[in-house]
Amino acid sequence: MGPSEQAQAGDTLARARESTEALSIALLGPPYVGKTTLFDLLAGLSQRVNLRPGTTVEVRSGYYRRDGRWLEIVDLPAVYSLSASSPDEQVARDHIVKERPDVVVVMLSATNLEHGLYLVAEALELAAPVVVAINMMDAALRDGIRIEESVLRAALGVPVVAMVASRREGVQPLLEAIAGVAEGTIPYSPNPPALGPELASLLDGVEGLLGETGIPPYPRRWCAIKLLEGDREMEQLAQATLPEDRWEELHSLLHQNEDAVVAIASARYEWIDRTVRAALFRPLHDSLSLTERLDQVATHPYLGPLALGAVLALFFWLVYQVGEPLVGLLNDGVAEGSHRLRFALQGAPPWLVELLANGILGGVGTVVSLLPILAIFFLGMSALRQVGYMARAAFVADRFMRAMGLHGLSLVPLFLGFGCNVSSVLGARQVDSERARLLTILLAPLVPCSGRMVLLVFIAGLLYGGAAPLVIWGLVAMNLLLLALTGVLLDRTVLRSERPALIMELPPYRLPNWRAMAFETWQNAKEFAVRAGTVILVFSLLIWALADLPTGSMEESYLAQAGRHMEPLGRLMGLDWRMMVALLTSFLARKESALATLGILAAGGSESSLSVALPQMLTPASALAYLVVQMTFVPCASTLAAVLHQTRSWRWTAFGLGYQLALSLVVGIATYQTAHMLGWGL
Amino acid sequence: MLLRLLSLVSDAEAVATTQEMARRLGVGEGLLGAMLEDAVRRGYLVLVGSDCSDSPCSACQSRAACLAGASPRLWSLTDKGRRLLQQELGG
Repeated sequence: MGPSEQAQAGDTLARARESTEALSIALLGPPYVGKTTLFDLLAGLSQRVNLRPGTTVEVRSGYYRRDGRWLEIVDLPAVYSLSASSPDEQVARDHIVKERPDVVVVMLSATNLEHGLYLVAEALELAAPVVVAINMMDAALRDGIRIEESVLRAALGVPVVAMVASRREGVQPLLEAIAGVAEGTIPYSPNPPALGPELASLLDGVEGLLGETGIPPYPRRWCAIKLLEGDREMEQLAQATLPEDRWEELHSLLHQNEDAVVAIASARYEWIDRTVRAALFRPLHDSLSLTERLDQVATHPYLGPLALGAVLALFFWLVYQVGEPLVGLLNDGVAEGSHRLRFALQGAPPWLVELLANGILGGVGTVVSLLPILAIFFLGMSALRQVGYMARAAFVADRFMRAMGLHGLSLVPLFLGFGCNVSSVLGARQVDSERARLLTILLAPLVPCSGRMVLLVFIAGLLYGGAAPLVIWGLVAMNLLLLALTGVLLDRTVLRSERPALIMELPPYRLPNWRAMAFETWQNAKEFAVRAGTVILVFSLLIWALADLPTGSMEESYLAQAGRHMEPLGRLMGLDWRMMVALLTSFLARKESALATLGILAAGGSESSLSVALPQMLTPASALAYLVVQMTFVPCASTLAAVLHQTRSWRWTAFGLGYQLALSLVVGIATYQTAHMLGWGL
Repeated sequence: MLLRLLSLVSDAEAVATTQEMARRLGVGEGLLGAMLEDAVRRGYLVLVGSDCSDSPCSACQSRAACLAGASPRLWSLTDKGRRLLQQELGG
């Protein structure tokens, strides 16, 4: 505002203040109903901002001149109710009670009438002179919603004005209604919610204890309602105003009826329901919305799980089809890079050549070449979440999991585990029951995280060709089945807990937000790259050193000596010491470290890439056994640290570790031995 | 009506969607939404997972989806809600 405009606004305010006939108008309404648009339209340049004493709440006020009369307009903070449960609500209701505006305009959105009517009910209980403005009528019409103004007017007993404030439509009728109510020239007989005989008698009792004067300046009936609603401010005022014995009696009565608030709120909701039924018409559902049609399948008790299986299968197929060729190219690039490096470093000390070509490029390079799979995986997961399908998947999975004795609240944290098990374990804090929380934490590491998925897609792609998507899908299904069975086992034995029911709001299906998807994928890819450049690099160097020392021959190295201790166990699964060491490193660092280790060990000083070496090390049966073990193996060290942090128990952490170790070895051995008996792929 | 909502939440054998709950109560989803918010404000229901104040949100895999409003919201009965139902329904 420029200096001349400020001076003009100052003059306007001064003139308005001098006018004794100015009408005071309060604008009240929930957020996002267009209240500020209306205020800006009326107050224009005259508006100013006041900080309410003792609060940080700002209230804007301004003036409007109509037919020679000034209107002082106050734009109250946006609120859902007048309960004084927030500073905004307290400021709004104090203004109505203490400043006693000539008219309170309650503004509602035509697209969400129910939400705003609660505020109308409270304003009517406050005996404020109310005019209801229903804004956004254009948006409601677009949605096929029709609101009968005359019916609503009759139901509420106060003037109702339909408007589209952004187009200035309905502003003049609103001003006429305001003037009519203030001057008493239009019918005004408000119908606040009836509170029923039991509540009415209780309210009479409270009013009686408040005495003739009540708590000035608040209306006595309204005070009684608020006290029964457990309004803290009213309680403090009552205690300060009433004689001690009367306050004690009142306090005792309120304590005996502390849940009367439910009956009061119910009476308001029944009033809203009746009003809405009479005045609001939604389009007939002869044609279901897209969300409803899709949900008929996606959330169906039988079709839903089938759809979930199909969506996951399609998802893994896409990750494999798009990611695998790119990984192959990058892997060949790593081998070519290694070859060129060796050529370029001719004459350098052999240990330096091996360190750079095998230790760094072989280890970290192999892991970095997985980036396309990871990026596609996160892009797909992000798309499924943003489209709204993950919410349906959680809903369908819950029915399944609950049938097997699992806890409903565990649902969301377990779903987070598809990205990273650490998020899953940390997310378990939202589960309120201690036993259920512990169960969720112990189950979280069985959710196939992105690290495991990358390993799975890479190895399955190398070993099973066209059948890889089926193997991937089958192993993910196996993990979820084992998770459910573990849940049943723990729930029926050591961690039995009650299963609280839940209400879930399914968001409507929508087109994904491409920027958010790109951001999520970028964040995850960046985190992966940082990990490859730090933890996995250090680990690769350590593995290389252990595989090279003390003689320079891998077969005589420290790592080989340690690995051979695990070989008898590995033989039961068709795995040599190198695969067992890779398995172990997936626990010590991140899951992806297993591939870095294999990148170093499988190449074994040669120049062949992992994609060439791995199929020579594994038969289809031993590869399957390895994947089964890897998918169920103990979590990475970060996840284990999160488990310890969340459970605060070494005992439960050790139990989880031991259980998962035993489970993975049992299923791994069983898989290989079964394949052996069937004579398959040996 | 609020008591009936709490009672339906308590009786649900599995997760119930807001759509299903609105149908069972015989009200619109808009009104159900207002009732759920009210029940949370009065301490009878809790919005599960709403308190992420001490969690490393920036590291969460679902952050972008949350920001895009595509994450489901879940409500569960509180102890106060359960106590009320026991008193009112003797359950």
